[in-house]
Amino acid sequence: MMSEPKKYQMDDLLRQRVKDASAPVPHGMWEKILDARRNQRYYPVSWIGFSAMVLVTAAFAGWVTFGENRTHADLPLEKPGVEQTHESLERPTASLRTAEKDLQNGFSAASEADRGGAETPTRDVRQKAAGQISRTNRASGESGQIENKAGKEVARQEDIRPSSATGDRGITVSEALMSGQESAFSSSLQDENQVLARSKDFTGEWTVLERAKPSEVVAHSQGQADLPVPPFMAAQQRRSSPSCYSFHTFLRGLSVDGYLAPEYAIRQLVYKEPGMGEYAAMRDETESYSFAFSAGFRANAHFKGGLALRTGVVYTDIVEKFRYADPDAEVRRIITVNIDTIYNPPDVIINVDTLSIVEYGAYDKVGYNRYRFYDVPLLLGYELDRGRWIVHINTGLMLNIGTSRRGQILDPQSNLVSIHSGENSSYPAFRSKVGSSLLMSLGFNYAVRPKLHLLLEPQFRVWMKPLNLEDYPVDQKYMNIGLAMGVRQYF
Amino acid sequence: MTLKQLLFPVSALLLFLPACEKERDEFTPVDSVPLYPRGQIGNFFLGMDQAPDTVFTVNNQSGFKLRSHTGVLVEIEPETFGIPGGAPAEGTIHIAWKEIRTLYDQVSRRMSLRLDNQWMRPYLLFEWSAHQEGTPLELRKPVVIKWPENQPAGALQLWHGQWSEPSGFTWNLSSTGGVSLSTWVDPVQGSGTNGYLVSTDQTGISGAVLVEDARTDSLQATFFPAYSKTNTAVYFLDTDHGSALAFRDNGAGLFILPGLPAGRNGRVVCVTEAIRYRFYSSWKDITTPSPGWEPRPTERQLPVVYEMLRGL
Repeated sequence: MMSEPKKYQMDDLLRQRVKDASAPVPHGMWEKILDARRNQRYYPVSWIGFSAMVLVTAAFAGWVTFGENRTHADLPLEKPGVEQTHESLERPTASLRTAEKDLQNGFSAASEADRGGAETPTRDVRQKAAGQISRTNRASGESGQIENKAGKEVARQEDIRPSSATGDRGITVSEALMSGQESAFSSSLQDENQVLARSKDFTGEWTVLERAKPSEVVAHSQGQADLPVPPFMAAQQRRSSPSCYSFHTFLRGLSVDGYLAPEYAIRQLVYKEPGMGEYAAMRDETESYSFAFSAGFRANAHFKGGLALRTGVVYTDIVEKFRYADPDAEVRRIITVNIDTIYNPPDVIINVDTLSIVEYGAYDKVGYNRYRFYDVPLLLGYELDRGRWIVHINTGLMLNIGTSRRGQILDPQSNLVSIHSGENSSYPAFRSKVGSSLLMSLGFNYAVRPKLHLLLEPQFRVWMKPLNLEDYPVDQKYMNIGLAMGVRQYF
Repeated sequence: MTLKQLLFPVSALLLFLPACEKERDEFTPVDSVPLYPRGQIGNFFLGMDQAPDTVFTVNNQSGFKLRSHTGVLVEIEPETFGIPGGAPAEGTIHIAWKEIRTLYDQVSRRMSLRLDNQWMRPYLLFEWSAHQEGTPLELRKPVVIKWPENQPAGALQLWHGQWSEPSGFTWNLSSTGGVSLSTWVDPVQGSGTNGYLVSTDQTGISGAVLVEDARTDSLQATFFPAYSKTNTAVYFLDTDHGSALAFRDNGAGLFILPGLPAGRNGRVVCVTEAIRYRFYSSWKDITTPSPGWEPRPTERQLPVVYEMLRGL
């Protein structure tokens, strides 16, 4: 038995009531739709996208910089300033070795004197030990060697690593230790009091010593391994440099770029009113991309971890071919007309007059319109060192400080008008400043010399605002894809 | 410098090698139109041939019949012509006779077969005058004019025309003469002749015409604003019916010819004197109705224009 279909009385009632119902289209509906469409401007890259790009770049840079405990040995730069920084950063380790030698050579007495007492040497003990070192070396190198052997054992038992609350203090200790070493081996040339005074200086900074593991000390003494760097030293290496470059605790170096970038300019004409579609098409028909390029100088500040800030001056030139042919063109000019000739030998009198005329004929023009931009870039970059190659990504703003133009276009009435920015009769279609544009790039540097790199940098740039004035019926916008080629000079 | 080092600048230069097309800015003029004409169009008409067909020398005291080469017969009674004031001229007088048969003739006399919004189809246009030793004579009696017509039309009217400033050429309906069909014996052919007979009491330009109804169609010619009836003449030359119709100066460079029936074939002609003795002209063949015309008068020698008009 088949089930009978359900009956929905309410639905049937509504269906009957509204079956023939109709409503007129609200007045002005299409105009509203057109307005809505008109307002839906197409901006391929928005501020949101740009912000996201900056965040991604910054996050990536931060992750690489701080997330992996990178040391300066991993940093991309190989420049003198950076090399000095490397040397400075190497000093603590060298100083540690020196300190160990000092201890081996000269602190044995102090250690022996202190062996039965506290583990931490006092200033007096160190002064005595230093004096004993001097005296011993001056008396006999052999005995000194014997003493050193004894002292070496003491040092192994006592301590070989300085423990300082701050990096500076630790470095001071290291330098002092180096001085101590020097004094120990040049005792024949220096006065004992001087040695004592210098030892006093370094002992004043010596605060804490940590013990090394016996196995590490043994391995190091046998030349099998370096002594391990304690955690506080690693932190010190990240934080500061002991040299005069300590001013640049974050800045690693400076460089300048000079480049030239062939570009491809993608133009978009967006008409604001439905009636201007034909005009926009006419402009597209008469104007076409020819070539574009940028040239710029950038100053780069390179920071720890690969971050870089760039700024400078960039000149951009977009060249478009303007091709226009009018078989029925007209040109107005004034001609001189000979209205009468009187022959009065030997004179011939010619009466002339002027006449304003309009000439009609075929007009054919091929010209090049140039849109010039003068910008100041503010770019954030991140650089990765790969041997002689440096790869970097950059993003930021190009702040426009001015524009200029040259050439001709058709106006909405199909008249040929000049857009020359230096003429009073120039058609008022374009702005003198076009705001900012976004730039994203991926660069590759190749070191031909330690300080000189070749630069190859594909770029993508988009203008946030159209070039034209608000009253102009068509928005003229650009996106440029380019390849910057140039050099980078490090300082 | 190694090959690798060369590669970089060379590739950079290659990217700067777009297919360049040389700039050009070429204008090849075809027409040259004066923007502010300063001439007098009257010089154009003065240069046209306005000589009469025939100058008859007759005795005013005896009646006579004049016969033109086209067969027009003018019957004049004794003492028909008199000096201004009324007394009949004595002795020999001269009668100049001109039949206006062509469009050139109409233009040369600055005629226009237009009546406000009506237009005239001419059957006989003539210009005649009498003078004695250089003194113009007046008609003291009506004169009968007969002319053969192979295709008689309806009721013709006799109109007298005159040129006067500033209204231009005007027509006045004759109060004396009715135009009627008739048959007469031609003094030369001798046989019976069918045609029209009209009586006129004026010398000068007269025309036996058929007046067409008013129409709403019009022709327009647009010039630069400085063009006016002072320096420019614009005509529609109806080649089907032999009517020269002058455009009316509507101001600001706009010339209008109203009341023109559809289906008329002809040529619109404009002539302007841009500067003294420098004439610019243009013409165009049309069939009414025709869209607005924006003439581009170019400089031409007057004989060229006259020859064009004679060819219509």
